[in-house]
Amino acid sequence: MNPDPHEHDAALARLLSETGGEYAAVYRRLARAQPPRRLDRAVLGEAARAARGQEARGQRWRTWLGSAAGLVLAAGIAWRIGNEPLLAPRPQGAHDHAIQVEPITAPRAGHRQATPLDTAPARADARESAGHPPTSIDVDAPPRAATAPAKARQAQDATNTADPVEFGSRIAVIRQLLREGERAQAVAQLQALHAAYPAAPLPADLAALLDTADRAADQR
Amino acid sequence: MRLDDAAALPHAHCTMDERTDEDLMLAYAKGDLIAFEVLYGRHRAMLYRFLLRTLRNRADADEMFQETWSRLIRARARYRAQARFTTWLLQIAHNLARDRFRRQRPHLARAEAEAVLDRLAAPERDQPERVLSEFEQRRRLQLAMEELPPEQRMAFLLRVEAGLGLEEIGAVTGVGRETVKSRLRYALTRMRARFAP
Repeated sequence: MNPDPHEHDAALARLLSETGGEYAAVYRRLARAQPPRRLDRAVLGEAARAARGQEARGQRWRTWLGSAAGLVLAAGIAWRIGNEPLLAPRPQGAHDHAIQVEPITAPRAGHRQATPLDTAPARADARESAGHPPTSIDVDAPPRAATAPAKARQAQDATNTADPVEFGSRIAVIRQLLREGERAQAVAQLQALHAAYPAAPLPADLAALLDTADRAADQR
Repeated sequence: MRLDDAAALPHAHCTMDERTDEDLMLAYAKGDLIAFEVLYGRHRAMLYRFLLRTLRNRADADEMFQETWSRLIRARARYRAQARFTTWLLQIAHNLARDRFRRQRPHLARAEAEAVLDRLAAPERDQPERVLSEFEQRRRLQLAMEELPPEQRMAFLLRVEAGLGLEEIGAVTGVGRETVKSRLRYALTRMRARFAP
């Protein structure tokens, strides 16, 4: 080895230059190894699970906050109801608030008056007295039926976001192939993706690429 | 059904491609999975080659590759945009590789190294008269890298594979600028010796 300091510095300057010098040029001609697909799947799967876990934690926190807020509200109402007679005695014969806002039927004779916290059972009792059997729907209010456009939108969303992890990772792989100049492979992957998710919208540039490839295939 | 309107896409890939690594990592830390996929697509090959050529063993490279991303995913909430994403990613990989070297025997058996070189051989589609010289150059470079101590090899790879400068290599490997220069000079001396007629 020749320990010429000038040559050392010159070689180092070439290595640190934009082109990287002669050894970087040889290095770039080595095989461009790629991670195997199973590693791609493993990493993307772990990233997806982590993102989903984060979302689930966020939802749990919101649920807890909602429950806590509900308890505070309920306690406040109970306190207010409990104090109400002391603050303003009701005139004789006056109905409770809960009865006033529930005009379906009058309460049965001898039946205890409902408090606001008993509203749902009270409604069930009221329906029972009106000749309707009590059902779980009476107790737990059913969600409002979706309108036709909303239903169509839900169906559309379900189709478009079908397996978003798989869809997104395959798009990323296709783009990587295009960047690396592997157009034929990218087109093949794109066609397979479109076949798997025919209703999912493709990015504009990939849709155009697919159209071009389809037209070329039709002409052959 | 195909839509040409990028705004109607479920995930805006077009704009994702234009975002910086740092923006994408911050977006993923907030739960945006597509941001991670774009980021992964950008760096997967570079990271894999860095690990494969550093560790010189495909099974180790596979394991370290997955572990690097796994640690990055677990630490996503701690990422701050002040640190360049590539530096952070390579820091994790470098630390894992260094720990592996400390645990393992210092060098692979010669036969094993030769097997790695064979597997990494480039496709033989060059002109026949160029194949020998091309092959010989690549082989000499591989052998020179093989002979380097791990820290010199990693410094060289961080330059030629990841394109990092002196300061960035120093940040990844946890040493000063002069130490990085010294390691690169050592690596170049070894290269010159290998390429000498």
